Formats: sequence, C-alpha cells, structure tokens
Amino acid sequence: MENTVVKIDNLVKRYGELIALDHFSLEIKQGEVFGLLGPNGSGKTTTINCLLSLLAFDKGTIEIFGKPMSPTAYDIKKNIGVIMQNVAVFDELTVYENIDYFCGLYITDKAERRKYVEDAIKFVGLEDFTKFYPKKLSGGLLRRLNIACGIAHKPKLIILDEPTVAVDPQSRNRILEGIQELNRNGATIIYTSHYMEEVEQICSRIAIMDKGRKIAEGTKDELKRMIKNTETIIIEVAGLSDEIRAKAAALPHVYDTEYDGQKLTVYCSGGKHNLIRVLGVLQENDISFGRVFSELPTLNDVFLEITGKALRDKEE
Amino acid sequence: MQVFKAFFKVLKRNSFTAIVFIGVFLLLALMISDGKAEVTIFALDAKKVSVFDEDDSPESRKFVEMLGEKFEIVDIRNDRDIITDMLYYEQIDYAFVINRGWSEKLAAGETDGLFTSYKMHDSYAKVIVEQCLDDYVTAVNVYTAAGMSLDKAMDCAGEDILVETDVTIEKFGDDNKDFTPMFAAYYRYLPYIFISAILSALCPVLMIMNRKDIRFRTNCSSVDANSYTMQIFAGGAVFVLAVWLIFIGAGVYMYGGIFRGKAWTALLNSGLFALITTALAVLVASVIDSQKILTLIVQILGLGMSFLCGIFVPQSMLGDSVNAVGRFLPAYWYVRLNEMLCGDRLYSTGKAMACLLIEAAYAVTLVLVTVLIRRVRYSGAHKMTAAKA
Amino acid sequence: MFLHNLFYDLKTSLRTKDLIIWLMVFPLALGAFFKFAFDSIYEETTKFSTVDVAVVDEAGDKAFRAVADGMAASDEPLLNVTYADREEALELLKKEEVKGIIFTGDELTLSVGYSDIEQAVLKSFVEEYNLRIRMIERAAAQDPAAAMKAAALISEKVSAVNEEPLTDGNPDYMVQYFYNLLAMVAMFGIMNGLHITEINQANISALGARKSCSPSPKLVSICSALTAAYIIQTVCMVLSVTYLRFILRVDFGSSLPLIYLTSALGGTVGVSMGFLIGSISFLSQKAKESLTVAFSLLLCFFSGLMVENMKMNIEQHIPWFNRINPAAVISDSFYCLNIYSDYSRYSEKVLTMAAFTVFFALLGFVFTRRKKYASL
Repeated sequence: MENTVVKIDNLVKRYGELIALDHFSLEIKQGEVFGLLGPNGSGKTTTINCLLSLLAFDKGTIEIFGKPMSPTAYDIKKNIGVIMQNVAVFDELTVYENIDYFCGLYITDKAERRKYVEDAIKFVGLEDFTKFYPKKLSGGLLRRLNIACGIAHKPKLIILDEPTVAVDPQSRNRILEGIQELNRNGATIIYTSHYMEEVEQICSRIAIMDKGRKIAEGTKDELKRMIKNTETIIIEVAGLSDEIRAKAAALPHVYDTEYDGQKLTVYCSGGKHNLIRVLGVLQENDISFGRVFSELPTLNDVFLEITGKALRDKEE
Repeated sequence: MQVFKAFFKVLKRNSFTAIVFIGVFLLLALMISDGKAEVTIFALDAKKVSVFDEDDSPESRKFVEMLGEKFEIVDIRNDRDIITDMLYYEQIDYAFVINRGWSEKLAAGETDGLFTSYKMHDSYAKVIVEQCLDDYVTAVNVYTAAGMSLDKAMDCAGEDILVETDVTIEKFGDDNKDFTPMFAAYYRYLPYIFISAILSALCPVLMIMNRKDIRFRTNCSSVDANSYTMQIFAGGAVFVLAVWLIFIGAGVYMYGGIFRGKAWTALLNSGLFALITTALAVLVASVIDSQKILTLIVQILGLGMSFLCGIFVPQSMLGDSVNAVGRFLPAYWYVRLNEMLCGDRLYSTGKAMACLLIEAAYAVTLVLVTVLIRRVRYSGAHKMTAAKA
Repeated sequence: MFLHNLFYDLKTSLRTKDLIIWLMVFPLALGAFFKFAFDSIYEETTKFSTVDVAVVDEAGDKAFRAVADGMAASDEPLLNVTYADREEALELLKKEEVKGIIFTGDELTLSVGYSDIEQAVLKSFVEEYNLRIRMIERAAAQDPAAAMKAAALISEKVSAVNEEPLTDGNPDYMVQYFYNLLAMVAMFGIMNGLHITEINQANISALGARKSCSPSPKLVSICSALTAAYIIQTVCMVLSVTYLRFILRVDFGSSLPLIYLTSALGGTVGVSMGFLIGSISFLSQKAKESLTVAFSLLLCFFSGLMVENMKMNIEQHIPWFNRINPAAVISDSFYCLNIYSDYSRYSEKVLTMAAFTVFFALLGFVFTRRKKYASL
C-alpha cells in the first residue's frame, strides 16, 4: 500500500536574483523515512517552508495526502507535525504547558490531550523536567522539548528540519531512535540534515540537493550505485616506485590511483576481490605495507562525484 | 579599543532606532520651546478676557472699548462649551457678561449684579480682573456722587483704571540679551529631551553589548573589567557628544545666533547634563535587558524628573517640599542655573558655579555607581576569587 | 480552540512579569510624582502667604504708613514691611530677603528682581493704592465738599460681579495631567498589541511559524491573542484609575463608573493600534518597537502631556487633529466627563474610541490575513 503522502512538482522559488529552488520535484510515499540531504544553503529549509505553505513560491504545485496544500488546509495540517530548525517554544510556559499548548492547537478534547501530552513527554524523556521553564533546560533537553511540541498530537506526517543541530551525541542518538520509533508506529518522516551519517542511519530514501536542485534521489544503495566508485582501497606503504604504482593502476576494475609517499589510494569500479589483487601486486614485488583500509562509498562520495565538491565544508 | 570600536559597529546596525528617537525628540524640543516661549511670566502678563455685552448700549460699548486697552480681549462665540474649554485650558483668564440694564444700573449708582462671570478656577488672574471691574464701578460711583455726568465719570474712571503702575525690574549684573527668553526656553527643556532621546537611542546598543553570552565571552578575554566599562563610557560619550552638538546646533539655528556672555554658561550647563545622561544611560543599560521595559523606565525618569525639577512647571510654582526632593536630582540644578541665566532668578557667579559643580559631582557619582554595579553584577566570580586571594 | 488559545495567551502575558510590573510601575510612579508636584502648585499659587517687601519712604508718607501699619496688624497680613533706605533695600532685594521694593512719592512705584507670583501681588497692591489716591484727588478737585462722601464710597466694598459656575466637576487644571497620564498608559497598550503579531506571524518568530503550521485557524489564534491583550490592558487601566482615584485621591469628577469604562476603552484603542502596526509586514520587529514608542510619545505630546496648552494650540490651528489623535480623544473624554453635565460630547468621544478600536483591529486582520510570506 504505497500511497503518496507528499508530492512536490516543479517547485520554483526565487529571492530576487537568487534562485533558491530550481524546478524541484519530489514524491514521498507513506511509511518512508525520507532524507533531504545537502550542504548549508542548498534549499532544504526553503523546500520545507514551501511545503508547509509558510513561504510563497513562484511556480509549481504541492500536494499532501493527495490534496493541494494551502495555508487554510486545516484538515491536512491536522496530520502534520513540524519540528523547526529554531527552537519555537514559549519562554514563559513550562515544559508541560508548552507541549499542552501546542498539542491543544490540534487536539481539542482535554482528556485525550492529557494522555497525548504525557506520551510525548515520555517519548522524549522529559519526565523529570515537566515543571521546568525552557530557559533552565540544557541545549539537548531544549531540542527534545522542541520535538515533543511538534509530535505530541501523533501526526501522520512528521517534518524535521535539522533537529539535531548543536545536540550532544547522547541526545542525538535518542532523537534518531525516536524518529525511527515514530516511523515504526506508522508516521511518514521527512528529515533534512547535512549530516550524511544521520541520513544514512535512518532514512529509507534520500534526495540530495545542491543549489536548489535535486541532484540525486533513491535508496542508499541506489544512490551509491549511481557512481563509478564502488570501493576505495587505502594502503599505508612507504617508498613505492612509479613502476609498481602503474602495475596497480593497470589491474582490472581500477580506474584511478593516488600516492602521496605515505599512502596509496586505489579507486575501483565494480568487480570483486579488488583488495586481494592490489595486495597481490605488493606481495609479488616484496613490498611491505602497514595498515590497509577498504571503504565502500558513502553519500559524501556520491555528492562529491556528482557536484565535484565535498558535502561538508572542510572546517566542519 | 576593541570594545570601543565594536560599540560603534553595533550602534551603526541600530542606527534606525537612534535616528527615530533623536529625530522625534528634536522635533519635540523645537515645538515645546516654541509653544512655551510665547508665554512670558504669567503673573505680570496682560490678561486675556472675553466679554459678552448683553446690555449693548453706547455706555457698555464704551466700557468694552476701554477694557480693550487694559486687557487683551479675546473674541469667542457665546457658547457655554467653548467658554468652558477656553477657561479650563487657560486660553482665556476671564469671561464675563455685561448684564442687560447695565448702563441704567450704573447711572443709578447700583453696584449689584452688573456683571455675571463664568467661574472655573480661582486664579490670580481672576482676582485681578474682578478687582479691576469693581474698581471701575467704584470710581464711576465716586465721580457721579461728586457731581460728574455719567459720561464724564466713565471717562475719568477709565483713565484711572488704565494708569499703569511703574514696575522696574532691577538688574544685578549684566542683562540677559545674550540669552533670550526663547533661547532659555529651549535650554530649559533640554534635560527632558536629553534623557528621553539619549537613553532611548543609546541604551539598546549598550544592552546588546551587555548581553550575557557576549559579556561572558568578553569576561573570558584579557580585557580588564574596568577598562571594558570605561571603553563603553567612552563610546557612549562620543555618541552623546554628537547628539549634543545636533541639539545645540538646532538651538543656535532656531533662536540663538552666536553664543555670547551667559549663553556660554548655558552651553556648559547643557554639556554637563549631557554627560550626566551618558552615565545614566550606561547605568540603566547595566541593570535592565528588555527594550519594552527600557521605554517605561525612560518615561519615568524623563517625565518624573521633569515634573519634580521644574522643567515643565517653573520651580517657583512648585512647593518647597517638591523642590526639597528635586534637590536630590541633577536636573534641579540644571534648571536652577538656567533660571538664573535668563533672569527668572537672581544671578550670581558663586551660585552658578555651585550648580555646575553639583552637576559635575552627579556625573562622577553616576559613573562610580555604574562601575560598582557592573563589578557586582557582571564579574561576581572574579570578585570572589579576588577576595580569596 | 479559542479558549485554549486565550488561556495560554493570558498565561504567557502574565508570566512576562517584568513587563507587566513596569507597565504598572510606570503610571504608579508618574502618578505619584504628578500628585506630589501639583499638590504644591495649588498651595503655591492659590494660598496667600505674606510677602516680604522693603519700603523706601524718603518723603515720610503718613497715609501710606497708616495703611501699611493697619495691614500689619491684621491676622494674615498681605505684606511684611521693612523700612530701609535705597541702598539697603537694593541689597535686601539682591539677597532675596525681600521680593520687591516700594518707593513712596506722589505715587507708589515698585522695583522687583524678577517677575513671579509674589511680585504680582506687590504690583496689584501698589496699583490698588495708587488708584484710590487718584480717585480721592479727582473727586476732591471736582467738588471739595464731596470728598468725604467719595472717601466713604471708596472704602465701601463693591462686588459688581455675580459668579455663575460652569461645571459641577473638578475645575482643577492640573487634573488634566492625570488624564494625559492615563492616555499615555492606554497608548502603551501598543506594546501589548505588538506582541500579538510577534507570536503569530511566521515571518517574525519561530513560534509564529509553528503556530502557522497547526490546524488552528489564524483568525482564531489572533482573535484570542487580541482578546488576551485587551484583558491585560483593561486590568492595567482599571488598576491605574483605582490607584489614582483612591490612593492618590485625584478628583475625576462624579461619574467614576464611566471613568473606568472610558479608560478601558482607551486601553483597547492602544492595543488595537499596536496590533495594526505589528501587522505591517515590511518593518522589522525592532523598527516597529522604536517607531511605536516614538509615535505614541508624539501623540501624547500633542494631547498635552508635557506642555499643558498644547491641546488648545492645536485646537486653534488644526482642530481636526484633536479629533483623530487617540491620546487627545482619550484625555478629552475624561475631561468631558468631569466638566460637562450632559453627555453629548462625551458620547462623541466614546464613539470615536470605539470606532478606532474596530477600525484598527479590522485593518490589522486584513494585513495579517496574508498566509504565505515572501521570505522568512
């Protein structure tokens, strides 16, 4: 039963000269954990804001649950949970009151709401902090409150816009596990991030964005299959001659090699037993080597190969 | 110098707020002093009177004409609401009706019920005008009793009423042509304007500089806490200097011309007060952190000080108790000196110096208090370790 | 949904403690200052106190001395006379030990150091004295025989003026400062009004964005926030009036319930105005805050908060401005209640305020209707 939950068609959003979204299309099926991956400024948040009808766009259509999304589409909004990049809670209300307030915008029945709020508090693990004001919470706990406010009404579609920014690893793991649990309970998830590890860990399908365009889409494996590189072999070896390096480069499936005097990097495309063959070359020539790594491609490699730049800036 | 420089960068980003407030208060300053400067000291001033002549006889018309020379006759419609408004807001000092049959009664020597006045305030002006009406009637009666015709008696009574008593204003020291009443009125309101404009414009910038995260970061740096505070003061002072020049410039342009004689003292006076305001701004910004609360505090400080220190209402009209309280506020000394300079109060060099010195003392005290408060509030940890060592 | 929103809007407003506290402290403090300052103005300007005066009587004017001595004997003498020669008198004046110097001669003349109330008292005394002298001289010149009769007439107390009171209310001129203070408190409802859009507009705050994503219609959340702001502002106004009336004992005239009503209505004008300004989308929140404060101060200035005759000046030059300046309308309605016995002008003001509230709020709704933003 693969119903389409979100359908974005040909979305264009301009900020003056700058094109923030360039004919962007997307389809998300029910039950998916969909990852929107891209560097800062690639248009992830803009997509989300357009999707939520917060932002006016220049062209394109957006449908959620098969109906066109609009600012007054309250029947659609009722089933969406949103967790924004910025923490959006009242400083003047306690943890419990904040969750109750936002939940109350969706659930009017009081008894039912109380249960929902308690579930949400348990879900994010804030049981000990219900009477706290947001100012007193640590960064991680505040993020968790932010999430609880977004999901307390048990929505069918949950949109998380970089919920783990500036969160300690413990809280981050808890958040990621929580998202998977929500998904197991039947919610469709849209998750944006520039942490490829997170996206790899939890998303069933991924779209990679750059400069407002979708540059690739598919499951993790599909994405990795899209690129030439299937294996990168790194061997710590000193004093390698050009002759032997050429021999390695001539092996089948090897399409490129690099050597910096310390490490030999061999890029392979397809084929099996590539590592053994490369080590064989070294053995034949009686060259001793140190540590050996064989890496399967990451989403970063995918991004690197498609755009020619790394997903994350060097300093990050 | 980093703090000093950063101050101006933040100021630049917040220039909209600063420009709005300085603009609005510049406008206010010009309008207030313009509105006030016309009103010379009320007590000796010509009274504004409205007359409704219901008798409408040749005699009554003659009487009204005579009154016109004594008082300023304001023509208004004989409408109770209008008279009420005019009297209540002291646009006229007195309104009365010359009752029907006035001339006959006057000729017969009757004094009762000649006039009907509309009563609002028990003011000095009212007493003076009523006294004049009574005197006129008395004089006419006296002269007719002495055998004059009514017409002649009215002429003579009119003459008597119109004689102005010679009042000399003794000048001790030089006169105040260097510091005109218009100019003085402009300067009188400057404390209110400075407090409102400078606090509204400067405090938001200072509040950003004092924000907890920024402050913590600064505290971790090698900048000495006192040097930090002093750089903030210096930044504030440079900004205030600019604001001060704007207001002084506007004053010169509107009223003053070139500064001469006492006007220089007034200039010094306002400069000192601007310094006090700077210190006050740094102090206020060290204690509060919300824009909205700042607005309310600025109003309390600005309006409160203005009413207690004789900026909106002359000090001589305020009671001794108010002036006793005012003495503890810097604006009191500013206004006192300003009143001396423009001749509303006797001038002496010693007294003027005393005012200036007291103001300077306020500026220094405020700076010291601010340094102290900032030490206690902002570098508690530092202080504790210092105490242990 | 509305009640849920209202409940939390009130809760958040009440928890913004320092703002509420200052919103209250502000009228309390200024009210107390006004009261303190103005009470003494009444004493200073209306209560007679004896005026110290130096008299330079070089000619030895017996008539004057008789009058002066007679006055000194009374319970509350008008003048406290010190006889001195010219030099001494000037010295006394310079030291402000006397308020003026009276010189005797054919006519009395007066010297003062500056002009003020006491000096005015001296002037009126001197004028009165001179006038009487002139009357007697003139009457005697006309008919020497009638001089005695004339003197008798002069000493007779004449009161040619009957007074007709214009109002049953409190004619105290200084009360208008309290009207204007209340108008200012009402105007500061603008701050409460600004808050409404701050928490509901997606382009201003993250909270607004989150609210915009919920199925709670914007009209409902804005209505509830507006209602909450009205309630808070009304409480502020009611407390201010109560404080001024019952603690400071400011006399607002007889119709106290209507004073409460008027102040509450004035508060709603302020809140609606803040809401309207908040809904203008092209200004930043900070710009809005400073603009509204500056703007409301100007309105209060024009209604006479700082310079009391400002309102009448405007009445003479641009009267329509007094009809539409909310601060002036609010302070005027207090004035009408106090001074006028019929309610026609008062109801006109009340209608104006009601119209303002509705107009501002409706316009605000129109502006906030925009659901999507060009940028966030």
